[in-house]
Amino acid sequence: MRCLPLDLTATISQGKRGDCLPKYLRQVGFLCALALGWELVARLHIWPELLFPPVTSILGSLATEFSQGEIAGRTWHSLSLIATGLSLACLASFLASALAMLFPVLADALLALMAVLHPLPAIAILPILLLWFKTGPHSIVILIVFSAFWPLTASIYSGLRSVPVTQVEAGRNLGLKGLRLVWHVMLPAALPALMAGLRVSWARAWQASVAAEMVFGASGKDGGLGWFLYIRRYFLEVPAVFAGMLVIIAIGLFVENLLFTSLEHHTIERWGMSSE
Amino acid sequence: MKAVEQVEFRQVTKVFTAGRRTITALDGVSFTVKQGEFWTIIGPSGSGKTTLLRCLAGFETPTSGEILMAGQKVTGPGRDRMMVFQDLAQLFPWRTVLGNVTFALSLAHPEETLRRRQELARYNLELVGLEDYANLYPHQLSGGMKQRVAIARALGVRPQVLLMDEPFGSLDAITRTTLQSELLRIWAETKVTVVFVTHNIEEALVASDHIVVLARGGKVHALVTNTLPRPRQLDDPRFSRLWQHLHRLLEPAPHIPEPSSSGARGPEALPLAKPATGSASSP
Ligand SMILES: Nc1ncnc2c1ncn2[C@@H]1O[C@H](COP(=O)(O)OP(=O)(O)OP(=O)(O)O)[C@@H](O)[C@H]1O
Ligand SMILES: [Mg+2]
Repeated sequence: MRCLPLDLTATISQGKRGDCLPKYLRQVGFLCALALGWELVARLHIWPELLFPPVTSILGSLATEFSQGEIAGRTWHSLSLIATGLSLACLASFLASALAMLFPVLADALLALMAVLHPLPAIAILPILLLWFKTGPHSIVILIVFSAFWPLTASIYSGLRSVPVTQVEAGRNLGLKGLRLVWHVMLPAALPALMAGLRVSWARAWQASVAAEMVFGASGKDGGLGWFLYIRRYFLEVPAVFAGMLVIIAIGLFVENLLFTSLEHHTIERWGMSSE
Repeated sequence: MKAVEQVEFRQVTKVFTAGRRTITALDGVSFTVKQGEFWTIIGPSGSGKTTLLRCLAGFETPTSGEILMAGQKVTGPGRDRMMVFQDLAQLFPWRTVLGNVTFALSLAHPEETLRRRQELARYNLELVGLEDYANLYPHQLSGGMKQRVAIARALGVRPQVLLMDEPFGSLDAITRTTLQSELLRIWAETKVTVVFVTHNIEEALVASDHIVVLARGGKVHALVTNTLPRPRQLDDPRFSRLWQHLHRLLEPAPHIPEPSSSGARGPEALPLAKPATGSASSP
């Protein structure tokens, strides 16, 4: 995820294989030192504690939020929205790129749309979404679909186009054509590109959904983590705001390093396709 | 075995247009393959061997003329003609060795039970000597093993004709010789018709009943029938006489410069790269 320290994410996945453990430990050490420094600065009371709370009270707030079940519920809400949105985006992207592969006219249309809409930050369509669909989870889901669809479609489509010709012909030789050829041969062959697209889409969608809930309170009362940050800031519960941020970071790290990495480990790496 | 006509090329011409240029890859090619025969297509680089095979496989449509398969005009790819490509990347990397073969079987014989398909797949892997590698993924195999799997996958479909475009072209000489003799054994066991493309005169002579010699420009330069008794002995004087004959047929005509590409094929392609000996017989 691009909003996270890249180096850290890279080394955690390497550290798992045991070759870069010292570096990984060094980075954890650095983060601990940072937290310690933060704590000391906060204790000096240079800035009001209300705005710059010490790490201990942030962690304390995290613990109470968890024990009261609030933050877990919000997290669950955010994750279920994003899971719904990403699944829909995957489905739509697959259909769009498969149709574009089968019908050149549709490919032109798709590429034109992509050229126009891909550069548009997803959050920029939120005002229109709110007018059309009102506030609520469905607006957020549509936003997630929109933000994930373009990068995902771009990578699936280019992945499908660069599938080795011999594999496609081997499939045709076996009697596959049309959507069945795309499904049985081209899509698995394009899996490395699909995975890369999924990583980007996840990051975009996650950013967009948190931002949307926060900026407009778009989700209404029953919101996710973005909404949590928004409402805690409103009541000036700053340690809780930081606690919410920690949860967002933790989810990012988890999805990036455990979910995607193990998904890749069990698929494209296992099949020797990851060099593509 | 009663020899039934299985593949018939009738005046097949294939012209490619690349930009403003037109390239005649095949020019009025005609020949007839009977069931169970082993045919080899040989010719210099660019003489249309691959194009011929791809037309028969149904991946290309002839510009004029037609190809008949058991009396029916070929209009597209089909499981009655299975192709083994030269490209080592023809296996599906996300399926195991066994998975590649069973996948082909599930498409070709959906009526069989899963169990039966597994049995058939294992039988075909045994045929190419890879039964112990069933659970490996293609990227864990050597080049020669990949080509064996491709052969097993193609044979599992039980095609009428096996098409092979220099399947051993990217392998080292020793592996190549081993696979050649295995192919001959498999051919004898399965009685499948084979149309085989090669650069290598020796490979052609060891294996085939009939040899189509293509000239540059895609014309059939000669049809050579090879009646030497099997297994073919390399030290048989008749073998070397036939070799000489084919070599003369393949010599470049004096006015066409030999492209350097044939030298890049490695030492196995030597017969074509060798300097001309004896009197030149221009086409
Ligand atoms: N898709 C294509 N578009 C344009 N020209 C083509 C195409 N395929 C083949 N050709 C041309 O047709 C001619 C015959 O090519 P082909 O690949 O059949 O030769 P070949 O005998 O298989 O050569 P090699 O021994 O090098 O594999 C060549 O001049 C080639 O440039
Ligand atoms: Mg060729």
